[in-house]
Amino acid sequence: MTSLASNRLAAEYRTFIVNRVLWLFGLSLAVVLSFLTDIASGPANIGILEVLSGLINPDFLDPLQRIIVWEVRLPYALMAIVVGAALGLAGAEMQTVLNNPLASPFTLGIGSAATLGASLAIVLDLSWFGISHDYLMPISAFLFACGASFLILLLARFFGANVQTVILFGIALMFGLNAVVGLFQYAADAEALQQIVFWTMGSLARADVSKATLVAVVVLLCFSWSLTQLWSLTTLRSGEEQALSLGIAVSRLRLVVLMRVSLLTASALAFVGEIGFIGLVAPHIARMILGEDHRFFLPGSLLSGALLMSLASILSRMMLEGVIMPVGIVTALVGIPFFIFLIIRRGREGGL
Amino acid sequence: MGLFISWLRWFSLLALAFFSVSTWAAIDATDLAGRNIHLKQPPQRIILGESRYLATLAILDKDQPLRRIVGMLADLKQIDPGTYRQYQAKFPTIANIPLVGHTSADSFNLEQALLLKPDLAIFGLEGHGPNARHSRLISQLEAAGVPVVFLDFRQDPIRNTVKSMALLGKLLQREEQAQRFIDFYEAQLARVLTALPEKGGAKTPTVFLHSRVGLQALCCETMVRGMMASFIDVVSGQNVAQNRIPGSAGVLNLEFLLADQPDIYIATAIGSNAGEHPYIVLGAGVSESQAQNSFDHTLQDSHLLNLRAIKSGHAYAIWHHFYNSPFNVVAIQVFAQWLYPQNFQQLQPEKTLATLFEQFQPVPLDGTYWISAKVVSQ
Repeated sequence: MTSLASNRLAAEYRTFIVNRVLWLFGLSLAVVLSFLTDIASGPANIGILEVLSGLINPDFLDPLQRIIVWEVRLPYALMAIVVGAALGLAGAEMQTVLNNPLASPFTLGIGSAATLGASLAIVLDLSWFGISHDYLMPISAFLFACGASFLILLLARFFGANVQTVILFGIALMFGLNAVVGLFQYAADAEALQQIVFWTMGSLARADVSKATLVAVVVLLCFSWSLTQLWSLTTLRSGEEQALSLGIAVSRLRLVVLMRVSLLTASALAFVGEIGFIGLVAPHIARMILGEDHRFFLPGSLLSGALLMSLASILSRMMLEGVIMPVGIVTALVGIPFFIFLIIRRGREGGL
Repeated sequence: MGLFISWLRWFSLLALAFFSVSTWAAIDATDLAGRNIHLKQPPQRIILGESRYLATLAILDKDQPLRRIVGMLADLKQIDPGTYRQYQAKFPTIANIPLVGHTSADSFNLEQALLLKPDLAIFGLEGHGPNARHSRLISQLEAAGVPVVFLDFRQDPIRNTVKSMALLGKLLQREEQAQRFIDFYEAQLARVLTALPEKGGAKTPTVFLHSRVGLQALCCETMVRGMMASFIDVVSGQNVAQNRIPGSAGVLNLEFLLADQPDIYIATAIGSNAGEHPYIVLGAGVSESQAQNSFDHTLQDSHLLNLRAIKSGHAYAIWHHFYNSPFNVVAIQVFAQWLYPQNFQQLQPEKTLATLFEQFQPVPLDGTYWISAKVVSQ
C-alpha cells in the first residue's frame, strides 16, 4: 500500500521534473530562435542561411556583408542575450533573498549607482592613465555599483542583515544616488547631459563582441556559483525561520547573493546603460511557468531575461526601418503585454 | 567768430537732443513666434536666452556687442568655447556678464534675471535656452515688465534668418546695419538658389548627415527636420534619413547606411580643442591640420570607413554651430558645392565667410569651419 503511494508520488515527481525540464528546453529553444532572428534581420537583405554560413566561415560573405554580420549585428544580438541573462538571474536571486516580489537589481540602488558612476565619467570627462573615455565610463559605472552594494552589505553587517534593514538601506541609498545624478545633470553642459540621458535610456549600440564576452563570463561564473546554493535558496522561499531552523546561515547567504547580484548588474549595465524592466519581470515569468524550485527557477529566469531582451533587440531595430530605438524603451513594450497575459492566466487559475 | 562757433555748438547739441528724443519712441513688432512685441523705448538692458546669439548681436553692433547685455546663459562658453575665447580676447568684460542659467531652460534663474532689471529678453524658438514652449516663464517675465522676443535660426533657418535679423534691427534701432546684412545674406543665398538643378532629378545625390560625431559611442545620430537638415533640403539633396525618423533628429542603424549607401557623408563637428578625441574639431582657433587630423582619426576608428562615400572622397565635416547662426548661408554654400561641384565652381564660401567676419564681426576670422576627408584607401 505504502509502496503504491510512494510509487505514485515518484511518478508524479518524475512528471514534475520532466515538465520543467521540457519548459527549460523550450525556453532555450526560444532564445536560440530569437537570437537567430535577431542576427538575420536588418535593412540589408542577407538570408538566414547566408548569415549562418558567414558565421561559420566569414569568407563566405562579401566584405560589406561580413562587416554587417560580424561588426553590426552579432555584437548587438549577443549583447542582448547576455545582458538579458545577467539581469534575469540577478532579479531572480534578488527577489528570493529579499523575499519581495517587487525587488529587482534596481531596488537597492545598484542601478542608480551605476548611473552615477557613468555620469561622473561623462561630466568630468575623465580620461586617466591614457584609458579612453569609452572604457572609463563602464569601469566607473561598475566601481560605483560595487561600491553601493558594499555599502549596503557593510551597513547590514553592522546593524543586522534582516530583510527590512537591507531594503530600507537600499531604498535610502537609491534616492540619495538619484539626487546626486540629478545634481550632475544640472551641472552638466548640454552635450554631457545628452550623454547621461542616453545612458539612462539604455542602448545596445555600444556593444562589441569583447564586451559581450566579458558579460557572458560574469554570467557563467555567477550562475555556476549560484548552482551551489540552489537548495538553500529554495528553502529560503519557504520562510526565513524555516530556513534558519534547517540550519541555513541566512545572513551569510543573503550577503553572498547580494554580492553576486551587484556583480551581475554592474557588469551588464556598465555597457548598455539603464535597462530596468527585465530584472523585475523575468523572474516573475519564470516563477509562473516553473514555480519556486530554484533548480528550475534560476535558469528559467536567466533564459526569460535573455529571451525578453533579445526580442526587444529585434523590435528596437524593426519598428522603424533603418532606425534604432533606444532598447530600454522597447523592453517594457515587449515585456508588459506578455507579463499581463501571464498574470491574467494565473489569476483565472486561482490567485498568485 | 568765437560766438558763432559757440552758437553752432549749442545748435548741434540741441539738434542731437531732439534727434535722440525722436528716437525714444515706442517700438512695435511681431516676433518669430508670431507674438506682438511692444517696447516703450529702445532696450538698453538685454538678457540673452542663448549666449550664442552674441555673435548675432555683434552683426548689428560691431564695436560694442556687449554694451546692452546684462545677463545670459553659459552655452557659448560651454558649447562653443572657441568663439567664446575669441570674444574674450577682444572684450575681456564678457567674463563679468552675470549668468542667469547654465545651458538649459531648466537652469534659467528667473529671480537672478529679474534682479538685473532687464528691459528685453531675447530667446530662441527652440534650442538650449528657454523657448517658446516655456509659457509660464514668458508670462512671468512679462508680468514683471520684461518684454520677451523670440528669434529663430534653427527651426526654419532658411526662412527665419532674414526675419530674425530684420526684427532685431528694428528692436535695437540698428535697421540700417541689419539691412546691410540682409542684403548680403540674400545675395549669397541667391547665388546658390539660382544655380541649383531640379530636386528629384536623376542626379540628386543622397546625403547622410552624421550629427555631433563622437557624442555617443553609438552610431549614427542624424537630423531630418530644421537645423542642418534644412541646408540639405535647400540645396536639393536627398537626406537618407528623411521619412524614416519621426522627430527632428534620431539614430540611424549603421547597417542601413552600409546596405543602402549614401552618395555623400557630412559630419558635424562639436569639438573645439585640438586632440579632443573622439570629436571632430572645427571652429574658431582650429588650424586646418588640427581639423584634418581629428576628422581622419575619427573616421579611422569607425565602421563608417566601409561607406563608399568615404572611400571615394565624398566625406566632409562642418562646424556644428552653423545650425543656429545667421551665418548659415556659408554652410548652405558649402553644402551646395559638396553636392553639385559642377554647378558651383565659381562659388567661394570661404570668401563669403571672410566677408561676413570682416564686415559683421568684431573678431577676425581665425579658424577652420569645414573640411574634406583625405581619401582613405584601405
